[in-house]
Amino acid sequence: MRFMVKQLYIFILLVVGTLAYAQPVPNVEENIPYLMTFGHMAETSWGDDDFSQAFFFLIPEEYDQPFFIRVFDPDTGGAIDELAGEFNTRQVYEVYGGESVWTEVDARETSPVGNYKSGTLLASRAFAENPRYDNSWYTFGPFNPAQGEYVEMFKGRIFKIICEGVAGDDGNMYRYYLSTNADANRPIEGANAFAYEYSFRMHNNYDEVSHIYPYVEDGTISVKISNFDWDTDGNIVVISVARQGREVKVSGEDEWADDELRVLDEEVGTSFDFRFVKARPLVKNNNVVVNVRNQRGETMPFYTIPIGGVPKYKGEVEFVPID
Amino acid sequence: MALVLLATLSVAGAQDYYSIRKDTRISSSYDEVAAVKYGDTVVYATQHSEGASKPENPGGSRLFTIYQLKEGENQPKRFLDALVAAGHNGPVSFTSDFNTMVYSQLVERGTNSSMKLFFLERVDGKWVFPAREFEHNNDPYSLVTPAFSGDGKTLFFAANFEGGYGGWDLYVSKKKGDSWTEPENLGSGVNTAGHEVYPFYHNKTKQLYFSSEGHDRNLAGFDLFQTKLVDGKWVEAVKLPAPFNSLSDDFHAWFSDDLKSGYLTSNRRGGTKDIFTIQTDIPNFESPEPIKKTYYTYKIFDRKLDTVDTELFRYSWVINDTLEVPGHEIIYRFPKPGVYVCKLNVFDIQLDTLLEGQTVNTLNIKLNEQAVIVCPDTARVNTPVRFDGSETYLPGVDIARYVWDFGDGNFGQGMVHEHTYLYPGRYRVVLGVEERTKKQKKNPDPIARSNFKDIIVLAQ
Repeated sequence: MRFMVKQLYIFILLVVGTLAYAQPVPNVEENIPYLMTFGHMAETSWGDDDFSQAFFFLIPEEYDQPFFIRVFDPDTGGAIDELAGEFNTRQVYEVYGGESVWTEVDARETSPVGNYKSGTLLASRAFAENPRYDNSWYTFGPFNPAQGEYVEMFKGRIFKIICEGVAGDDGNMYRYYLSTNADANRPIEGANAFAYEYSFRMHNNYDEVSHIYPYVEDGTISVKISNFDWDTDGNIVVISVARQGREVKVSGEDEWADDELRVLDEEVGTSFDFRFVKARPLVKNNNVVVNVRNQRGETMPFYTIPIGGVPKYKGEVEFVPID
Repeated sequence: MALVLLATLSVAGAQDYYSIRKDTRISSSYDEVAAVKYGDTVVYATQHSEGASKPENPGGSRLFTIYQLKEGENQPKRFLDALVAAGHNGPVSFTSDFNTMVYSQLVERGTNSSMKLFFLERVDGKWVFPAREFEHNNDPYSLVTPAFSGDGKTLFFAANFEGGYGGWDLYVSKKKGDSWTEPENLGSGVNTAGHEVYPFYHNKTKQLYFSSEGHDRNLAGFDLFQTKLVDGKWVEAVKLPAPFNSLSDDFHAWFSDDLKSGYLTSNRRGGTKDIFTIQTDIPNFESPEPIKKTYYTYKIFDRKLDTVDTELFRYSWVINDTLEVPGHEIIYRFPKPGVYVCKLNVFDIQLDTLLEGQTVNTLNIKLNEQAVIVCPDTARVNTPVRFDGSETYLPGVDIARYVWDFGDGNFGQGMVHEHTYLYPGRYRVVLGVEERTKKQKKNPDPIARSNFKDIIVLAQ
């Protein structure tokens, strides 16, 4: 554990701290149009397995100024969100800080069960269909960084935001931004965001390729990759510093698909790149849920700013002389 | 014994890097024969032995006695006083550790006299008497000119046993425990209707040298021949070239392990048998190294690419940004020495884009600085093999001479040399290159570089 902490510390200080200047969620490099949460009355075949999504924000300990969590298109209605019949969905956003916001085991699970709303509720807001918030931002905060849970291994404070579809059956498509400003998106240097299950909307364009970046912690030997309701929309390829590209099993309609990968030594301490390429002809409005667990069944984090950067495969050229 | 001392014609060959010089310290107006090395001395048999002759000797000739000359001295002396017997003594042969010797001695019993073989052991630096008689000495036959293998477990000698090919034949006996096997005739490859005498077994090459008057239909007198045991049979003897053989009689040859020095018994300079030293200007090849091959053809691949997905990716190798060879694993022959940057290009079929190439490495093909031997890996006996040293790569070295050691006891000179192997086997060929320098006269060992290559010689 001590080694793992040290390793994370090194990454966060040397890699994330020097490279991370923006906290849009999803991040630019992920090329994911929207996070996705459906009202809990929706059929899971629409793509959401549990109608809840939790994201964590990491504020570096050096940052002591107020900050805001901004939500783009927070309501469920209008052109961006996914209509099922008529818009009848209410979404609740809750921001948590304080003790156990991250250290609580249930908080790092993939399903909204147990004490997943751990910590101190700092802010909350429910959104029904409201044109005022279509295609525009709502801002939570200001928050004092000291309100977060300090975690030594991150050298920073953790906040959590949970979006839940408490009523209705429509799909809410939204984004976050961790900002120093209430009215504009101003990044916090050295900050990051991560989740243990990623529920998102794919582009409606097969030329767009999406990515998410799970981090491979020390001691990881193998991983189980699970995806839900991929609708056999193209393929999911795992790329890493040691892997040119390996396809994983993809799910069909309203089902989970699991695949296992043996982790290569070189991959430990780096991020995977899960690449999502859509099929042709186009599958529209495809929503997907992805999570990854290690060989001990522990969830692995997806950082919106990949630890160690976007992994690039680097091979080793071998020259074998031949008589 | 007198048969051994006959003289006839000889044949010339071409071993011009050997020089044969009469050893005037040993040679006299009497006969000296069968010189062998014993430590830092040379031991031989001579008739020039004061007080050893016996007037009533049946042949009326002077008796042979074993003498010794120490290196750096000019005055030979008796090898062992106790060996000055009533009859002929010698020649003698030693094991490699010089702790056992075998010699022939004339033994008279009543009216019979015959040559017999005897062994002496050396204990704490002293030869211990009485001598032990060879168990296959057999009156009235004579056993002469013995020769040990280096380990003393094989004994060659000449004998006039009945049932041979005629005259003196060569025999071999092997030591089993404390006894010796029944002498076995070396067969028709060695023995003839004429005389075969003076065997010498060279331990390193496992070749047997001897003198024969029968292989040339008795036209050329005694000449030196060589043979080797191949598949249990001593193969047809081959005559040694000049200067080992001469127009006169040549009786005995002894070679050092590296075959670069030795002693020869011949009557080529006058009427009596004399001892000649064999020397060569072939320098010593100190610690030759195996030839490092310069490879031009390589299999190129990405060792980390354990799964190749040709549905997702299309691979190609780009060499020096100019040549593209398709495939994730290619075999490519580079045209010449040089530096080649090889990069794996990966085209992502799904994204229809060339991925940023990070799999890259540089191959530096350079010639190794060495003496290069170009020759076939295998050859057949009695078939000339061409040895080519022209690809030797020693920048800055002004090559004065190419010197070859073919591993079978033969040497050669010249950038290109042809050599014929007589016996099947695996031979280590060494090419030494001498550098021409201003200080060459002061440099006793001007070899600039020597490298070796093994060649396998197959039977016909």
